[in-house]
Amino acid sequence: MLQIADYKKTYAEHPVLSIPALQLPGGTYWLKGENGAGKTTLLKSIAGMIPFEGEIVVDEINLRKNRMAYTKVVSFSEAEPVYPAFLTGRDLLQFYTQTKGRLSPVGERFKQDAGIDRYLEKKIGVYSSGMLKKLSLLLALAGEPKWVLFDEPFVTLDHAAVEFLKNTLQDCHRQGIAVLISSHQQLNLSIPVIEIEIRNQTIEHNFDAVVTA
Amino acid sequence: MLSLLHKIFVQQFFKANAGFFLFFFFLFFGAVQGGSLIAYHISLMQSIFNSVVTLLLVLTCWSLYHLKCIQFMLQKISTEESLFLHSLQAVATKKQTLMCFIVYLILYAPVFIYSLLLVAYGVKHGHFLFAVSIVFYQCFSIATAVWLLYHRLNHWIDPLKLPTITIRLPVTLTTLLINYVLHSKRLLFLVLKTISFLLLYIILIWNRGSYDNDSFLYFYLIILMAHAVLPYLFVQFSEAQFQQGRNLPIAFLKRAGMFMLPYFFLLLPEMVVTIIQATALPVQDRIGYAFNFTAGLFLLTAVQFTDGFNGDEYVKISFAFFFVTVFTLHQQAFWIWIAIQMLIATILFRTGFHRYQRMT
Repeated sequence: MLQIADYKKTYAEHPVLSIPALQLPGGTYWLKGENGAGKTTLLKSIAGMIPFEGEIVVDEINLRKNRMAYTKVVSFSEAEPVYPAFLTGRDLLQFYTQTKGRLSPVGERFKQDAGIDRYLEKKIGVYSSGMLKKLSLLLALAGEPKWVLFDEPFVTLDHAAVEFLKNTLQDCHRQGIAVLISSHQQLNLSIPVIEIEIRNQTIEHNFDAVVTA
Repeated sequence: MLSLLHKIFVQQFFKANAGFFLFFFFLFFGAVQGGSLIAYHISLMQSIFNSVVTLLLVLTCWSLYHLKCIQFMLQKISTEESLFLHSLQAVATKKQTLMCFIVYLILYAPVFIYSLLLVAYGVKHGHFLFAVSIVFYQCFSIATAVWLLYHRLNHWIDPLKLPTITIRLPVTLTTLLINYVLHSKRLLFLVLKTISFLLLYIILIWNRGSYDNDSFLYFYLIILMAHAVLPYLFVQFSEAQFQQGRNLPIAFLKRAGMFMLPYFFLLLPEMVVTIIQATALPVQDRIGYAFNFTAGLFLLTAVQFTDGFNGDEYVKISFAFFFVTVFTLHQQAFWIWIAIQMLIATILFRTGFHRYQRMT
């Protein structure tokens, strides 16, 4: 269960997002909203990467009070990932598995399917944007996350990788890993997906599950 | 077109290196009292013309500055936002070369102007050979730089690839920033070490037995000031290229160690030299000086995470910090100052790190 209470985010004193209360039980969620609505801001807040006012709690672990335990169970994959160019993919993966824990079975499968092993030894500086994206998606599956946040996960992926990612999202669902996806593209998943939308600087949701097959 | 190149290269260069220039300006013009400024520079010029070794040392420093300018321009050309510079290929060779020359000369002006004064002094005092050597060096080095830029603009391959340091430490929290320096800031690291060891050599070897705490403190502070660029770069790097690290379960002490330990290891050579060679000072003072490096740089790291910190303020904060450091180390209150710095840094880092958001 992801709980958000009294959430407020401002940039240079301009309010951009306000969520008085939101509770998301497990499942797969599709976060919608137009450009600049605040989707990335919300995801980064939930990931503990940027400051905000209010409380965010996952499975009774409060981000503010127990950041270590919280970040063990909440992972995030950026829309446009940036990593140090001088590291190899392997370096980064080891770094993540040392802190978050070893790759989850879902992650192992994604690594195999997407062929990430083939370029893990190369420096990140020579990765294409698609390779970087796949690495970012893989890193979000390190450890035993209970919530995985994907910001525009399909952007820059080739057709095959999109299918692998869809399988991964379905694997997450089967393994009980909750997923929050921000995407401008149709998800077309064969699992129930609940749509939530940021509109007028707050969250509007329709908890009637939408099955997109 | 020249004004566009001026905006892309010149303005960006001086903006990005404001701290660097402030430091050298202080070193050359702020470190001595106004009345003795000319005498200071004349004695500096005399020492350059009196020894081949000193002249070579000066030329080495100028070459490092050349490398800095050239690397900046080549990197700028390689960035995606500068891809439009491709269109310069359509401009006549003479005009392109002239533009490269003008832009480069503005970047190189701080050294170039000083070298002109040096040549004038050398000619006036009969040091013709040395003066001509400097003129040849400047002509050759500037022509090389202009050729490199022209070549890069027209062929889109990097003609100047610095040798890569093959030392590759396993990537851990402690070594991440060290790897960053060894990979992405090699030239800066080389300049810092050159400054450090040159200054330590002057005070501890040339002046062996004739220095006291105050004179050592002066040299020590210059080394510390030069290294103040590291905390700034480290915070920029961690927030721009490794922001994702904020989503990792890393304990507070490890996160603080991620910054502190690299300072310790990168400054270990200076620490060892200070402890072993500064024999005119009591052992406890030498150890105090050595550990003050890490404490000071960690404090300069932590202040960057304070609420509302603006990168432009870093130089001001650094100078305020050095002012207090001069005062406390002059009083030989090493351990008290180290403890105070660590305490303030820990509080600022603890309270500020997770409230900080880099504004782009």
